Parts: sequence; structure tokens; C-alpha cells
Amino acid sequence: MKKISFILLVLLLSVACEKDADIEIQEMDPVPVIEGKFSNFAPDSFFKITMSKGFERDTYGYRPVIDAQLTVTDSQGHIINFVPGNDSIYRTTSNGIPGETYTLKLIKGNQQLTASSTMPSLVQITDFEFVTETDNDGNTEYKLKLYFDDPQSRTDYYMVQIFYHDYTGFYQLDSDIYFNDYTYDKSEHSLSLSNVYDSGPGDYKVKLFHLNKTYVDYLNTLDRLGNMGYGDSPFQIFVPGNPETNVQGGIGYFATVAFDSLIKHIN
Amino acid sequence: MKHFFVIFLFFILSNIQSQQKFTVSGTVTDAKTGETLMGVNIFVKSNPQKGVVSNYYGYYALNLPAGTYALVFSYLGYKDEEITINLQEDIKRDIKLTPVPETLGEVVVTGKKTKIRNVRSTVLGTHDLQIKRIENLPVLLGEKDILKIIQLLPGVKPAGEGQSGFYVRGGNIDENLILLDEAPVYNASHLLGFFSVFNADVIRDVKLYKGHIPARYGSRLSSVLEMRMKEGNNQKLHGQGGIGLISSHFALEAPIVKDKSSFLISGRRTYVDLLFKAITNDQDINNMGLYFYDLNLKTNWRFNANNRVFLSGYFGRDVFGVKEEESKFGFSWGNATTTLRFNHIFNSRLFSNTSLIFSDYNYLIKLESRDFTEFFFSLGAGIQDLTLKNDFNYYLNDRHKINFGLDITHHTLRPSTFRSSEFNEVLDRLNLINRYAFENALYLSDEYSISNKLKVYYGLRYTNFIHLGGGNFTKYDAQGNEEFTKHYDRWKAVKTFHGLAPRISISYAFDEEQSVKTAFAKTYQFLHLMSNSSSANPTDVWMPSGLNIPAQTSYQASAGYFRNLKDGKLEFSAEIYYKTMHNVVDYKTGTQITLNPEVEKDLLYGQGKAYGLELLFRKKQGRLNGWLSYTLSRSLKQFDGINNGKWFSARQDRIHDISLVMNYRLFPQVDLGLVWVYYTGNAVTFPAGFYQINGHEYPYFTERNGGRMPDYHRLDLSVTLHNKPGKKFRSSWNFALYNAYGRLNPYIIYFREDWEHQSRNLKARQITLFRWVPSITYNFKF
Repeated sequence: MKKISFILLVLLLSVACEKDADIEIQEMDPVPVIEGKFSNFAPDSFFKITMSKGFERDTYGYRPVIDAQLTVTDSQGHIINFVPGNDSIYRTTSNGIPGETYTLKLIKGNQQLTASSTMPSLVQITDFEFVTETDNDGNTEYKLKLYFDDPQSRTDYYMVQIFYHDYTGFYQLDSDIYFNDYTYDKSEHSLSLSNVYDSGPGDYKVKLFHLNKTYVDYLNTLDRLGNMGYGDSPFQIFVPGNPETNVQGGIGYFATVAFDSLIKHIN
Repeated sequence: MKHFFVIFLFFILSNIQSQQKFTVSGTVTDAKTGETLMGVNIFVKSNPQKGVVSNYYGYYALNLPAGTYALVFSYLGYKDEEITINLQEDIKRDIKLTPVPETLGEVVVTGKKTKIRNVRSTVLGTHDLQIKRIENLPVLLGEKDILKIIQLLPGVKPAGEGQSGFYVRGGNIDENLILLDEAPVYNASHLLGFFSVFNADVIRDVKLYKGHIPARYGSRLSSVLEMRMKEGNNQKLHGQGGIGLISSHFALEAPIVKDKSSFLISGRRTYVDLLFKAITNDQDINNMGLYFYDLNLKTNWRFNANNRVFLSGYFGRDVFGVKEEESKFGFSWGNATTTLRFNHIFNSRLFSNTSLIFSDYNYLIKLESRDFTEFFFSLGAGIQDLTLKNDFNYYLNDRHKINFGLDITHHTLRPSTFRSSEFNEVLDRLNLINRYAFENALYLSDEYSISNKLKVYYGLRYTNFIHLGGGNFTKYDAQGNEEFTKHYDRWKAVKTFHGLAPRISISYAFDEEQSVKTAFAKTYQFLHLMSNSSSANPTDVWMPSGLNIPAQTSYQASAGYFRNLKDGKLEFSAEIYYKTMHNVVDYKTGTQITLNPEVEKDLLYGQGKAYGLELLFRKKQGRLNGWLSYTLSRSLKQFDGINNGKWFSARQDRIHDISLVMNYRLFPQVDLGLVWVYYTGNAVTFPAGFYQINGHEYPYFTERNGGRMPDYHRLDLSVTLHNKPGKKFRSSWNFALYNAYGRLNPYIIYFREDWEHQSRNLKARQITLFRWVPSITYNFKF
């Protein structure tokens, strides 16, 4: 009897129901989408181009676009061409110059996407090491400590990639790590990351990318967009909308980055 | 400001007459309870144009030439009282009005002056809500909710299904100043907005200002909702209460010394968690607590005819907690307010009220580990006010009633306080310094009866806001980049704002049955609620204007036509308004509003405009009473960083809004209640397409608030069965059905793939929260 009363009470109070919603959606026409970056080291520069879809998604995946014209022009008018390879990724053989302003132009059919970005200054890695700490369980942890000359005039944003060399070559440990210089130690010219590594001794490569704040904001907003869902609820805590971008006539972001790398053997 | 004083002095001096005048003054109270009565009409029987209205504390003063007069005291729901006075000097007359019995069959005698007050007064865009009128209306889960009832008035729109939050004339939820015995209530919601914190048992008067906002009010752009608690029956013991499905409430009031002093105490608590615990042995349920409570207290003491003191307080909290063997989690939020007031009558013409007010809202999240690690963390935020205010009513003569005063408020805003047994660099950034500010105002106003037909209210409020220091403050540019960081000592001004807020309202009565009115008001707002949701999230925080956030301002012009029919038994009004808002706050796309230590970087400032037409048809008396309201309105915003700088719909841009409210006394012991509401769906942001970045799919939005939720409508019905009249113990059973025809109004809309047809196409799905919700409530009074 108690169980029945409980169930009845729950049913009485649980009166929410669900069904298809009758709402009007404004379908958008497909536009070019660009992702990738142009850096001071040509092999690291790449762009992937796809087309957006309307609300009705009738096929799997987003097929890469390989018939678009993609150029990047510097402030002097020098044109750098990007061409698609066998992997459908657009690449170039030209290095970017830190501090230079570049304009990207993508033409696909009668659609044109443009964007402009100034490559950040090059921040060189002077050294890196792994600092040991002991956790609450008595295990030894290794955290990366990076030595570099952070420009002090403003807040700077970075991304770091850490690679470990095994018999296959260098492979990336962990995902890309984004940070700013809030905890930069001016006396030691260093910054410690909180990520933990346990690969042991060997050859490590660290790549430090200097990024524009607007690019970091774009990535952060994208990250939130990906987690927040896209309906409507009285409890939504993120503001829905598109990330702020430097692209016009399309979607995505034209990122220019300057990076430096250092390879070192760690005992 | 200079022009205002010139005009003020001109009007005052031009009305000083040589004929000797005297003042009859006093306090009007309820004969049965001793409660003072606000808004009583007092007028000369032979010349009804000569009259006044009692103030918040029941005080009146009428200035007349020497002579003999018959004075009438008239108030809705009470028998008119007539006295004869021989005015040869200033005299005092305290009056007791007898309430009309509630049983049907007796003629409700209400003076015509009271019935036509809506035509004759200067106010427009103002609503007086009578608690008695709402007692039998059907409401969600049987909980009498004042905030839900005012949402049925024209120009007031609910924030959402079952929500206590509301929008007034296109403004945001935080633009409404909600006062309980003069104390601001910063989060007036329980249970994430489903219930308000106000126990209707103890509320005496409810007044909503949305068009004409008197100069004594400031701090918010759109409206003032003023609620006054009862004082407490100083004649005899009185109690009332109710037992419902999810909560019960009880109030007790009694004299401490008859005619001199009384107290009032009331409480309310939900008991769903207790109910579950009683029914099941499930350990998880037994370890859980989920409830809210309210406690209201008030006492007053009349020292003598000229001095009276009141002390009132409200304490309420929502509690959610889980207790397990090795850990304990708690999440609670709530308000506490205290008001100490002192009324003093200097002489027959000058009345003053001095108030010392405390208000606090805070939330706290705690997690404690009971194992060997002894880990704990807590996260909280809140806002606290301490206010000293002084208001004066000066009854200069029968044409001028002058109000003036000042208030000084110290705000303490705690955006985020984080404590933990272990240091965490990321979470430690949630520890933000407290913010402090002074918000001060001086005001002066005059209610001037120029002639029998023409009345003017004009006033000026000077307001000043000082954001104080006490730490490091960072200034950001429009892109969110840091411009500078500077340290300010605790009492040093970081930023100061000030300005003049004129208020004017003019009424012209063609005759006793119809009038036209117009009003203009400028308002300021210096505290801003960081919230994107329409529900009252307990973790929403208030931020002050300062280095980054400018002061918001609003200008509103309104006009209306008022008509009474059938000897004042029917009222009709049509009002139009146009409102502009400046430095309105919105957020950059993707902004995380809560628990964001740098939210000021992500704010955008723009403008808003709202305009509309409000129609109200009301029947206040008789077996059938109620109202029908229709609002046709728009609410738009413009920001440089949103929708390419084009004007777009605010979330609350609901073009059509209809409310039908009816009470019908079927039999002397049976009341029927009906509420029907309809409104255009919210403007919302839905995706228009998708794209892929780095292997992840993201929605693409073509326009902020470019979509619409489906229209909302709902019918609520109720039946109230009263026990036989004439008994000392009165009781009633209220049976209600919320959403009687089961309309599936969407509460949440989300998108998912069309699994049923094995397609990747997205389908919009909706969740409806309340469909056919019955309630049973037992109410009693003695």
C-alpha cells in the first residue's frame, strides 16, 4: 500500500510530458567554413574548408571542399597561395612573418570569404624542464615548466604542444594546452603548467604558439557552444549565438600564429 | 533643477490665501483589527472635490477654511463613515471604519468617491491589488502567490511557465524594485521561481507602479512593486492558515496591549521531502532534504497619538541537501529583511516616517567529506543593503500635498566567495573581492489640485551612486582587453554617478466618469543582475555600476483614458506608453554568466525601446467580478555587437498578452474562480544550420532572438466551498485545476536526431512542465 501511494504521489507530481515542438526554423543557405592556421613555419600552416549545412542534414559528415581558391596576402600585396593536397587540406610553402598583417580570401563558386589577422610576435622558448611533485598518494608527478620571454606590456595567450619520441617518432602527449600569462613568473621568466606527465626519460619536443586574444576567445566560445545544447530553457546559463570571428562571408576563423619549438632530452 | 524649484515655489506661493484655514487630521483604522488603512478617501460631503487620501500609515490632513463641515471617509470594502466638524482651530479626528461583512445579501456600500478614484487621481500605470480579491483565484498547486496574480495585469508579463519573475512594459526581470515593508527583496522566488517568497496571509497592501512612478522611488528602471505587511490585530487574537498539497502556512496576530500594540507572526514550509520520507524507506530519499520556508514577524507600539514604532522582519530560505555516509552536500539560498520604522506627527500638517532597513540575499553551496581526507569546499555570493530613509508628508493646504525626503543606502555585493581545504588555482580565481557602494537620493514632490478638473503631480529625485573601493579594480576596453588595474582603498570612490530624475503626471477629469491622464518619468538603475535565464537562478549575482558597467537610464512617457460605467461599478482604461532604455546590459555570445570572475569583460551595452497599448476592463463589485486585460506591445534592443547592430526582439517581446480573471459567487458558500491567459511566445535563438570545426559539429545562429516559442495559453479553474457564515471559525476548501484543458505549453525546447525515422535530421522537441495539475487546499481563519 505504501509503495502504491508513493507511486501515485510521484505520478501526481510528475506531470511533465514531451512531444514534437511546432516551431519555425529559419533555414540558412550553405556557406564556406574555414578552419586552420597560418604560421611562421610553412609545414605547420594548413586550412581545411567545408560547407555548412542547413537545418535539414540529410547526409553524414561534412565533405571537404577542394575546388576553392585560397590565398593569403600580406600588407605589401604579396600573394601566398594555398593548394589542396591529397588529404584535401590546403597547404603552402611560404612562411608567415610575425607582426605582419595578412588578408585571407577564399573563393568558391560565386561565394567569397575574407578575413584579416595580424600574426603575433614570436616568443622563443629558452628552456623547459619537468618539475617533480608528490601527490597525496605518494606518487611522483611530472609537470612541465616552460622558460620563455613573455612580452610584459599586455596579457598574452599561448598554446603549447608536448611531444615524446618513441620508436615511431614524435607523438603528441595530451591535447593542446591553452593558457595565458597570468601566472608567469617574471623573475624566473617561466611558467609552470598543471598538467601531469609520466612518460619517463627520453626526447621531448615542446612547441609554444603565441596566439591572438580574439582567436582564443573564438575557441573558448566554440567550446561552450559545443557543450551547451541549442534549444531554449529557462535555466540556460550560456548566451546562444555565433562566436565572434574575423571572417566575413562565411564561418570559422582565420588564425595567424607564431610558434617556436625546442627539443631536449630529459633524464 | 533650478527650473524645478522656480516652478515649485511659483505654484506654492500662488496658492497662499489670506482666508484663515485650519486643519482636521488624524488616523484612519479598521474598527475590527486596528490596522491603519492606506488610501482612504476623505472629502467634504457638500464639495467632494475638496479632499485627501490617507497615506501609507493611515494618516490624513485636510486643510479647510473655518466653518462647519460634514466629512465622509470612504474606502472599498468598508462602510462609509460620516462625521460633522466645527473647524475653528486645528483639530484631530481618528476614525475607525467598519469592514463590510463578507456574506452575500448585504449591500456593499462604497462611496462614489472611492469608486471613481481611478478617474480622479493623477496616477496612471498603477495597480492596487486587494488581497481579498485573489483569495479564491486558481493558482499553481494551490499556493496563493501575489507575484503570479500581478502577472495577470496589463503590461505585466510572466517570465515563464510557473515563474515568479516578471517583465513590466518591456523591461528586464531585474528592473523591478520589489519592496516588503520598504526593504528590497533581491530574489523573490522559491524553488527556482515556481513560488514567490511572499506569504499572502500577512500582506495587507500591494501596489504596482509601472507608468507613474512617484519621486520617492528610484533604483530600478521599470517598476516598483510595493508590499506592506499587516500590522497585527490590536483588538483581539486572530489566526489564519492553510494546508495544501506541498506546503502549509499559518499566521497569528494579537494585541500586546489593546489599541496600543500588537504582533504578527507567520510561517510557511513545504514538506514534499517529509512526505517522501514518511512513505518510503529508500535510503537515498531519507538522506535528502528539499524544502523552503518563510517566516514573517512584525510588532508595533503606539507611544502616544503622535509617535509610533514598527519592527518587521522576513526570513526565508530554500534548502537542498544530501547527506551520505562519507560526504554531505548542501545548496541553500534565501532572503532576510528587517525594517524598523518610526512615525512621528510634528503637527497637524507634517507627518514623517523614519526607517532603518536591512536586506540580505545570499546563496551557499557546500560540500564536505567525512572521510579521512576531511575535504571541504564552499562557494557563495550575495548582496546586503543597509538603508536609512526619512519621508515627510506636508499637507500645505487643500490644494498641495508635498512629499520630500532622503534615503541613504550602503550596498555590499559579494560576487563570489570560494573556500576550500585544498588550494585549486582555477577555482581560487572564483574568489572575488567584495564590492561596496553608496546609493543616495533626495526628492521633493507636490500633488497639486489646480482646479476641480485638473490635477498635477510633479516631482524631482536627485540620485547619487558611489562605487567604493576596497581592492584592485580592472578597467576593460570594448574588446574585453585590460586597460589598467588600479588599487582603491575601502572608502575611496572608484566611480561616481549622479543625476536628476523628474516625474510628472497630469490628470484632467471631464466629469466624474471620465478623465485623461499623462505621465513622464526618468529613472536610473545602478545595480544589474547578471542573468540570462528567465527563471530566478539562485546563483545569479548583482553587479554595481562602476569602471566598466555604466548606469542605466530610462525615459517613459505614457497617456491614458479612464472611464467609469454604471455608477463606478465598471472601470475601463486604455493606456499607451513609450519607453527608451539606455546602457542596457547584454552579453557577448557564449558568455558564461554565472561563476565567471571576469564577466565584466563580456558585457555589451546598448539601448532598448518598448511601446504598447494596454486595455483594462474591470468589474470590482457584485457576484461576478474580475477583469479582462489586453496588451499589445513590442520590446526591442539594439547592440553594436549583436545582430550586426540591428534592432532585434528582446526575449520578453510578446506582442499579444490577454488575461481574463473572474470570480463568481455561485451560492453564498460557493465561489467559482477562472483564469485564462494567452500570450505570444518568447523571442528565442534557434539554430538555422550547422557546421563542423575540428571534427565537432556546431550550431549556426543567423539572428539573436530571431525565433519564436509557440504561443502560450492556459485555463485555470477553481471551486471554493466555505463553511456556514456567522461562525467564529471560518474555513474553506479550495479545489483547483491548473491548465484545465491540458494545453502542452513548451517549457524547454531542445533538438535531437530523428531516431524514430533513423535520420540525422534534427527534430525540435518540447517538454511541458505542468499539465492538468490539481490542488486541494484547506484554509481557515479565526
